[in-house]
Amino acid sequence: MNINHKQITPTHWLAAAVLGLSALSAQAMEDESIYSYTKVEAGTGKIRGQAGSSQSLNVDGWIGGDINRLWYQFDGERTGGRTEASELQLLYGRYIAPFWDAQVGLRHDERPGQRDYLAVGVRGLAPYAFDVDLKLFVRNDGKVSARTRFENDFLLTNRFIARPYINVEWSASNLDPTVRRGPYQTDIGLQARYEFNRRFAPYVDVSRTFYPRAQSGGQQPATTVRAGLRVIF
Amino acid sequence: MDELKRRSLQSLLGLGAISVLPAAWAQLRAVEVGAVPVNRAYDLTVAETALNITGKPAMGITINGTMPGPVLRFREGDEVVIRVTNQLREITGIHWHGLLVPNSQDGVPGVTFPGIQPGETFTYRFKLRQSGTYWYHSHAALQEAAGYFAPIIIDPIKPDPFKYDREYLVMLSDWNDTPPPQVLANLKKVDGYYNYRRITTPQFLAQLRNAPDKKARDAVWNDRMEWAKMRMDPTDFSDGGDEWTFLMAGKKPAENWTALFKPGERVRLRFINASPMNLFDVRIPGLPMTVVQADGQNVSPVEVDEFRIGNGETYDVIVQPKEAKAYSIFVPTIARIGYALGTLAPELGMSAPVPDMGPKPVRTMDDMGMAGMPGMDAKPAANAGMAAMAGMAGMDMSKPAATAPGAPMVMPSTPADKAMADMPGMSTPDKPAPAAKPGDSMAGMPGMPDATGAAPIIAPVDADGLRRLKYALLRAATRNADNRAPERELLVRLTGDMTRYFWSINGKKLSDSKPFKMGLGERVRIKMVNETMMEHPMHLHGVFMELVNGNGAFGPRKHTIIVPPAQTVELDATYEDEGTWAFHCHLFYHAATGMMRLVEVA
Repeated sequence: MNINHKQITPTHWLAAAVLGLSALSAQAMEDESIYSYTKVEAGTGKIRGQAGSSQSLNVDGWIGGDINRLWYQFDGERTGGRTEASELQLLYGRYIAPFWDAQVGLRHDERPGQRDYLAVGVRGLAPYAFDVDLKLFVRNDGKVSARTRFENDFLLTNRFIARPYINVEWSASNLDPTVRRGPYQTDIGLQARYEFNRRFAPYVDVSRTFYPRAQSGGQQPATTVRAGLRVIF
Repeated sequence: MDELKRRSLQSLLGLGAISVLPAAWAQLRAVEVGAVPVNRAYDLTVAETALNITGKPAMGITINGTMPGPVLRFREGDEVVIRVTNQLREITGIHWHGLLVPNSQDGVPGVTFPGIQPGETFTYRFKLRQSGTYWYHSHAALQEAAGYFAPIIIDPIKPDPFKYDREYLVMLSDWNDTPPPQVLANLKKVDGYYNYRRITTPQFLAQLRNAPDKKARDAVWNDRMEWAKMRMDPTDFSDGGDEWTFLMAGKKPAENWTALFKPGERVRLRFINASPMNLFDVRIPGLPMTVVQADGQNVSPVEVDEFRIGNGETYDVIVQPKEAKAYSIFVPTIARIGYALGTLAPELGMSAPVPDMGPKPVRTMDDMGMAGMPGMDAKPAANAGMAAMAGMAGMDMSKPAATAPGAPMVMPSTPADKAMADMPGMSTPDKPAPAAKPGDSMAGMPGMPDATGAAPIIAPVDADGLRRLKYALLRAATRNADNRAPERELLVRLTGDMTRYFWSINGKKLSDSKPFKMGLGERVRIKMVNETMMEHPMHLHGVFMELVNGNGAFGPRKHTIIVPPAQTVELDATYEDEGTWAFHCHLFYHAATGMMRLVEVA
């Protein structure tokens, strides 16, 4: 209940402006302070059966208060020196229930093709402590797709943590000539990290990608192994 | 740590005092309260100061250059003047924790006064209407957690109804080199940022393997699944972790802060929990403690081996060491993430063995009042009154404590982590309820204390052989002035979202809430229901609350009360001072994220 004298950085102001948080003034209560979270995972390794090394960069974070947040997400992948995938999401998220945020915003793909999407979803912690990210995308050509992601931490020790995950891409219609209706790509993986502290954790990530709906001659299942560093700030 | 190891080695070898000890040890001799002058006026300057607690310099906030700040020693009935100069770069305000002062002097920036601007001096002026052990601290943002606190002693006009030969202040606190706003930012980033004491998958599998039979195995499995289903962590006893250092009188354990006594003397120890983040269990192995004051108010003496002290609470105890040897004042946090330590000794340089803290506590479904309740969902203790009882075998469910004050009820002995989790109004099988204590007829008159020489109430023995203080054993030494039945009930549900790290009252953060309203002189029953899974030491400004614990008109007067998870605690309060008062959890990170309400008294 005190006047907020936390130092406010330009990024905080930016976020406040973006979220329209008019409450952030000299009179703001301290329980309305602006906070942020950013997780960066940068890894390098190999996709079996493909030439050259493969890198990944994943950024996931938010800035805002307890109720209203600006979420951002970047996922990029390079193989053999070529950017195979690059996707950015900017979402407004609102706390709708304990453990859950509803999100709405934009997704932009730079690779494999330049595409824009409207994104709507929910993100949170399901019973049994599953991290859940459910999103529906409407592409600028009207095609609809979805993504469902589940992750869970298993503590081998308090610092050595195994994180299995499953990510499924769904399409409601033929997104591309090679993609038919239904789950068209599934990644099942396991990330093992060692938390020197919450902010720095080297990791190893092994995943297998399936293309359940691929037509003959389409993409083949592939195994990816990467090692990297996870940083939270 | 090396020093600690050396100490342990010394005690092993029986080399109590060693002459080569550094001269600095002399400074760790505790200052006796008797050497602190009584004053009517103090000048305090608050400033950022480089402190070195952990071996690395870090910035803290001090009062007159020290952490804790200077002891203010007053005399009951005096009008006192305290000039506070703010040398910080931000607004501040000092709150006199537990003192009954006019609203304008209560020191909560933005609520009771505008606050003290950087560079300004504010003069507090009030008349002391009470005596006892209290403390003062910043009530602005998270300044308190940076070391901005200090003790207050108010000498009574009439001597206290117990005798002692010397007395010491034992202020407990904690320290982290990370500035408190960053600690909070970290807690907001990652759920359980500092909790590296969670139950691991191998530990869980070992529990399953070690279970004697299928029933036990099922219980382990079901317990784990219930926690997972609720998305909660049974090890969440503190938001802190290994980075914290625990301090006694501002000294870390290795410094061996030492309070001296002569064998046979009665020593009064005034404990204050100034930690922003941790509740403590206080023990002096080998010495029973007689609790004579709680929150600065005299109580019928209770003899215990251990007591739990919530943030903001104070307890005065009398000990009488008869042998010329050292005793450890051993104060682990309730999460057992560390301990504060000092020594009671006949001379400097002595130390006693440091007990093991014991295993880190893990909450069970019973603690959460969830045992055997089907259909649980993410809202534990939605009916916490019921839920709390469900965890207690042998309790007469037809007699809720609130409706049958003083009715003797039976409860099983509780282990350490449940020490304070007893229901108000309960007594134990081996002792009569305090309300039924002989001598009531004598003590039945306002202002009439229990006879000084009366044998203390003896706390019942828990399963591990320790006698622990329970709220039900606290009994005001004098009859409370206002004995009226409450005119109405104020329901205060303690709520929050642990994973997002914000806390609230009745589901609303301070910034979203409207003040509670209480009339001047209105008798209000405050019913606090903890719907979270952490202890919340709740502090109400401007008034003493009388705990409804079965002692009727002798309910102990508290300014701060621990509400354990899934428990209900009831208190009666009558405001005699107008104004808007603060009411909040004294875990300061909880208050700062929303677990605070204003109370308008008019």
